[in-house]
Amino acid sequence: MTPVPVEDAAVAEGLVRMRELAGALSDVERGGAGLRAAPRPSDAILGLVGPPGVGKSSLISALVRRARDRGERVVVLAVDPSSPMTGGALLGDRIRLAEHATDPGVFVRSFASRGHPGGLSAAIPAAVETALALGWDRVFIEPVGGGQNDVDVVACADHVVLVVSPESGDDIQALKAGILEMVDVIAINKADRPGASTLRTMLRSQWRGRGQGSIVLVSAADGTGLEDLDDRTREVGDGDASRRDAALVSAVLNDASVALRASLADATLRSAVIDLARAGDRSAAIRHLLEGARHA
Amino acid sequence: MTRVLLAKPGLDGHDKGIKVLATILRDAGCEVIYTGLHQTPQKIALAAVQEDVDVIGLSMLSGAHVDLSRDVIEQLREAGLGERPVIVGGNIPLRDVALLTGLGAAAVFPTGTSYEEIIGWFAALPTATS
Ligand SMILES: Nc1nc2c(ncn2[C@@H]2O[C@H](COP(=O)(O)OP(=O)(O)OP(=O)(O)O)[C@@H](O)[C@H]2O)c(=O)[nH]1
Ligand SMILES: [Mg+2]
Repeated sequence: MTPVPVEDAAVAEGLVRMRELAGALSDVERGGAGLRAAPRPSDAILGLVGPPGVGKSSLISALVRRARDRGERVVVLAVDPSSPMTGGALLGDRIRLAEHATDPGVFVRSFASRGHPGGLSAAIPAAVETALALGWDRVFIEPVGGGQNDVDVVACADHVVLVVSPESGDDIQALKAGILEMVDVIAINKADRPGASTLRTMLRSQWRGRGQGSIVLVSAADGTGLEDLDDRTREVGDGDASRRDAALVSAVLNDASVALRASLADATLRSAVIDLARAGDRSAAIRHLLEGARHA
Repeated sequence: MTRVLLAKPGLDGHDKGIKVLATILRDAGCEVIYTGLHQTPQKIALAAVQEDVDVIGLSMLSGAHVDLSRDVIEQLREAGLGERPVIVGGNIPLRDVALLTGLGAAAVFPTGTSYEEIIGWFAALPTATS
């Protein structure tokens, strides 16, 4: 028998691990409970949120490179929106992670949001736990590129980075009342382009996050600031429970609205709620809906 | 819910057709994962494993479709996904259609195939209604 070359053996072992995780994630996406992870370091889960096209996937790819240099096995979970009309989705984040395509220590999975609000799909929290439970070391989460309402990831991740770029000036206003208050770090990506330091000045005057040091200029394209960003996302979590709780409440409210909507599939309940609302008694409609959902 | 991986193996740099197909399949209710240009058969198989897709779609305009399809199907089999349907589209001469199905392609859609036909093929999959 000819000995298997070391490299092939590593690929084969990597493949076994990949298939194990792939199957487990599919179970989770079909509604399975998934696995529970053992206690883990407080920097295992990193979320990168922000408006479309600012470079979230490109930055994840660069941070994955650094994690791999440390020998960590990495999972990337990327969420894109499902069409509310057809249920279909275009999932394109893999393209930016192409440099890791043959690395057995990097696993990338694309999720469609499937109507779940809050920037993640319903499967993500269990998917994260499952990946860690199966021995993967670090999980990166990229929510739907909406920004403002992508708060579910704060409840799910140990660290959350808001990614913006010099073109994001107008989007920042919209982010103010939501995610901006909940992130640990703001990364101004595309610092290789003009306008990045102007944006930093503006953000410094507006963001009362965790001090001015937490706004970093980075460029996934030329490598600027990546070491700094990497270090900040690997600091021990500061235990800011209030922020996490706020995000959890928001995530639960999102789930509740999904559940309430589902209970309206009951035609009797639905028409009773509509009748009450049409008669102008909104609070009676809400009481009736909550009561009906409780018995559903 | 049908999950589809769309990939362009080989060297040709034209991704217009595959992007249009991606949009059409999305509008037909599929979750479409697009992997970009210049994919090797090994990369396509690893992406299919990670994404646990129901169907792998290849688009090729370069003329190397027979060799590339054979390699992708072989890599998928080695990765344990030998039973997942592979469909092939692009500049495929009609005389190569039987050759490709003989290699294991589940369907071949040469340039000019109507979108209705492609959508119809997806609608008949067992995953289309689940
Ligand atoms: N100049 C410059 N371009 C960048 C940089 N990082 C990313 N880009 C480009 O910005 C575009 C979007 O990058 P992505 O990484 O896909 O951004 P994203 O935020 O993940 O996008 P969505 O997932 O679509 O919301 C691509 O064309 C990248 O090549 C950077 O640091 N500098
Ligand atoms: Mg992205």
